[in-house]
Amino acid sequence: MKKHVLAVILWVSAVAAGLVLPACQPQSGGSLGGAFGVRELGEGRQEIVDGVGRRFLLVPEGKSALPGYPPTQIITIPVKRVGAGLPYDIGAMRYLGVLSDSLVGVIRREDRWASADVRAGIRSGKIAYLGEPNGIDYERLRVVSPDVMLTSDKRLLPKLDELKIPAIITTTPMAMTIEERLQYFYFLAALFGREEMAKQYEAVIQAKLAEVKKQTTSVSRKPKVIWGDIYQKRVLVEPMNSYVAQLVEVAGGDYLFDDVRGASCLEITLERFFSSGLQADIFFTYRSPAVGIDSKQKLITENPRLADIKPFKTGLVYCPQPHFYESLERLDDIIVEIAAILHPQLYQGYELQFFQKLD
Amino acid sequence: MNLTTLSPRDRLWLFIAFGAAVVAAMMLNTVIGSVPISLSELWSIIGHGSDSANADILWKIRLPRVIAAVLGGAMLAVSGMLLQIFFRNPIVGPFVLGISSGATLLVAMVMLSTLSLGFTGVSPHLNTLAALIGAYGTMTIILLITANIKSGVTLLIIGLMMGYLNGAVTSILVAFAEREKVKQFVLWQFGSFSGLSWQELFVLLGLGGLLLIGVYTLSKPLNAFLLGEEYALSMGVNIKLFRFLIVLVACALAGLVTAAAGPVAFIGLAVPHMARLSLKTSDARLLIPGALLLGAAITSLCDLVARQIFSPVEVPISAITACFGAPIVIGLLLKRKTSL
Amino acid sequence: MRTAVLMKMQDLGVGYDHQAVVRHISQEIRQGQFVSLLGPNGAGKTTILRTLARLLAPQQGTIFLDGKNLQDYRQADLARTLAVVLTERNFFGMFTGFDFVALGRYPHTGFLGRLQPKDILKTQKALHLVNAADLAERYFNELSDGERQKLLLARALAQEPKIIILDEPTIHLDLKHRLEVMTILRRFCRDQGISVIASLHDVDIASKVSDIVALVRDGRIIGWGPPEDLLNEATVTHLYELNAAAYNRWLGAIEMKGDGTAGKVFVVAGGGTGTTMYRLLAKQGFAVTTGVIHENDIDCYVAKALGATLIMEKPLEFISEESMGRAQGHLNGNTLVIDTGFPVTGINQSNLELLKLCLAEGKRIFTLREKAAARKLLGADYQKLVFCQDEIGILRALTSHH
Repeated sequence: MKKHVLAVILWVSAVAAGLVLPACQPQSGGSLGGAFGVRELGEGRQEIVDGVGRRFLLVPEGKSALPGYPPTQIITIPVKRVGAGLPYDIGAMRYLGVLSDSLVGVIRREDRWASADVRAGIRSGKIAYLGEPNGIDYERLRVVSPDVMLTSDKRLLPKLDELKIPAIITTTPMAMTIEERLQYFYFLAALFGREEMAKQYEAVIQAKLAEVKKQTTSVSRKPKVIWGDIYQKRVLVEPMNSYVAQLVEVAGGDYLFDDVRGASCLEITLERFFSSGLQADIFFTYRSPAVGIDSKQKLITENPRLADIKPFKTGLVYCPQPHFYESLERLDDIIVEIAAILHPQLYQGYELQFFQKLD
Repeated sequence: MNLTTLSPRDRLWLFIAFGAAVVAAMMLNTVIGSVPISLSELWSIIGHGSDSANADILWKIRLPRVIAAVLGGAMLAVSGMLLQIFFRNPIVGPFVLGISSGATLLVAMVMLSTLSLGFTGVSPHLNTLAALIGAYGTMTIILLITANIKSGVTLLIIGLMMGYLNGAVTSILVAFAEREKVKQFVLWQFGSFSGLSWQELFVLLGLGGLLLIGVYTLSKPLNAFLLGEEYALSMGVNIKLFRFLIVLVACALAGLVTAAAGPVAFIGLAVPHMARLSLKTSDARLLIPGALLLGAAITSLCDLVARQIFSPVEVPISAITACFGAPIVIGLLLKRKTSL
Repeated sequence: MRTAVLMKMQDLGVGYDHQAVVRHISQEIRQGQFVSLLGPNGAGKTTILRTLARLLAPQQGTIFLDGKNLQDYRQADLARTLAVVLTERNFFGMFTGFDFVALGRYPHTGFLGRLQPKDILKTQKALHLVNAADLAERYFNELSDGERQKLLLARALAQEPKIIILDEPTIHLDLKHRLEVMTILRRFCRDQGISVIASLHDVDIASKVSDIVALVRDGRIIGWGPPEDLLNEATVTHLYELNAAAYNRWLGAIEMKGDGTAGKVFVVAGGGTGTTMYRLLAKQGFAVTTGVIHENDIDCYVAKALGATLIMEKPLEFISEESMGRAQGHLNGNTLVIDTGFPVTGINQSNLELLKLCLAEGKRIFTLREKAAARKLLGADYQKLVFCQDEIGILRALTSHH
């Protein structure tokens, strides 16, 4: 009898360890196992690795495929018809200049999109509505039959394989590092044959990062920043290895949750949040008027224990404007805005485009 | 399994051990936290008062959580014990009567529907209120349906069915909700003893304390109830009143905890067994204090693990309690062939 | 000695959901009486018991317990007057034999159920009375069905009731515990003056322990009285609609009849030597004829209950010519003959003649006699006998002969 219980305990601990330990590994570029990597195979053929490590063969039109790839992981490039769900994928497509020609289907209703081009596309019927994140309309997806489906949801894979629609998993953009975001551009560009645009993007972003860094090194005191969400009784924060934390550091800020690492926003203990909150000058949160949070007071009512943290008393609280999530490719402008928020004296007269202040 | 009875002295020692475990768990929870506070500082904060940041952390964040875990664990364990006796079924926990699903449904309505948009933030106690209303609403419906049904098993099945119904409506609400709201809702569903205000704690302490004392006065009929409703009736138990009281109290205990901390799994299911097996008795007069102390100690320790194992990142407490509880429940089920 | 009336049923109808299963019960149960309810499954025995225990409301009529309407009792008062023992023997939880029996003190203890010294004493006494003192420290769920049943009886006794109502108290018990339980119940009646009402499935046992048996059939009590008056072949056969068995009031037992399809056998027996043979043959399906048997012989009762054809002679008289003639009438054809090795005395000398006649006719006789004894009784012809060790041996010889 004891043996049974012991076996169960061992099994549960093993499973728990298996689940938990990888999740706690900081997911920096290297540990993703070559995610979003691009490899030249000659004669214009390329191999790309998506967010969950699946390899795709990209074959230029008219060329033959190579053996060793399942049919749904062989894609003829440049792709002409793309379905997508993540705002970030769509923002990136916009930057690469392929949005208006190639985007043929999106997940989420028209009124859930902020970008004018996407909304107009859905209204005119040029972009098909493919259902909601928790309920994909496979029938419409089949009718649209895009060359490639960009999605973050692994659960779609079996059905899409059955429909013979190649599905590329682009992991959640929230916690990707700056380096991964740049790499992701090369990855996406390979699909459309727009490598030049990706190179240009990297150059622009690197230049802007360097510029902002240089501009902000002169400041005498680094503002202390925290970034996270307050819910009733609970708090989630952006980890140190997220791109927003990196942006804060580049922009001459001091990101206080430097002991938190993970793949996305994480729940941390209230007291850890509180202790950093007491020192923080600026608090960025994703909670915004769109979800009913339009003032500091609303945040405080959500979690009254945090009424005493500095951003609520003397500091500043910022939240994104609705179009922020569909403008994430504009890292160059976002870094400037963050620098302007951290150091208003350096950016006098700057007008916010991505964030808004909560009073 | 070879059972031998315990002498009253053995049991006394066990109770002392349980009590010591509670005190030890509370002390650990007070000393250990994601923000290090030295013992001497802790002592001076408690002894002399201070308005430092650490004093705030201790008084406003850490201590409420320590108390919430102890209280919540005790209440869940006793609630589970009541229901296990009531259904004479060892695999029943506090959440079978739709207590959890009813609370979850109402909280989902508040959190997810557009109706509540105007309310969000208006009252910080809206969720708490919704959870309580949900738990009691479902329970009232079940009691109405089963007013004339004697069989505990029927009650159990109706409870499960109500759970499915509540779950169905909840899932529809989730399907139509915005992502941000779903995130908040999912967070609530994880359950946590974090972030309770003193005001909420006083409610929990006051009502919970009264209920726990009240439960003890039910010891005698609870013992008679072990033999089933008919024997209890034949021994002079007022079955209708007793059924009403036991469901009322069990739901109130679990409902209050759920309202304050969200659904916390397995404590109500596993702890009564541990108390029964360690005290080697089903006598409610021993089992109630036993389950109470064990529930408090184990929940405290689980909470400590939940917040320390990947500190400062939190792990949902239900994950820890389930990892601890599931093997015990499986073990008990396997063993049930021969006893229990 | 007539004791006082404890329970009185007046035109009682019992059942569920306004439908009476058994009606028009008007009977009395006296102090210290042992009343057994007999009847086929589904006749309503349990329904009657549950109504008498107030676990069910009567559909019509009234029950008086100790002069007071049963429905007017406060639950606690009723618990001090009436205890029940139901068929369930699995209980949830962990308690020792002592804890379990002490639960019977429920209606006598205070608010928290704390046991006073007198409660402990009475619990121990109850354990002793059911021979279960050794079970006090053992856990209930680890005991056998029989041991559990003893504790259930002790628990009912600890309640100090005037009447105990039991549903099938011997069901699923082994023989030892079945007898022990009945003995304990008799002791309750005789020594403690407690009235006992039990449904029993076992007519044999009921007839031996009951003061009163109640026969329940077709929605009525078709008989109520001492088993000695009430139980005979006709009533029991009617009660259970028996066709392959019969009750014998002298034996107080049920015998299984054979269906007679395996062949005809003539058994020459007497003085109780035939009983085992009859049962074995009936079980194997032989049509048995037996003779010549004296009327007060145990063989006579058993053979009758088994449905055998009997050639009888009046008690203590020599076998008459007429009886011999009837016996010979049955010995025609290829009937097989069995000699049970009956003792030959003066009055049944003719049975020996019967065997000799058969041998002379060349019939095969299977016998249980020793060779030497057979030689002395039958002379030289004894060698034609088929000698068998025991009844089973005869059966084997019979079937191989076929």
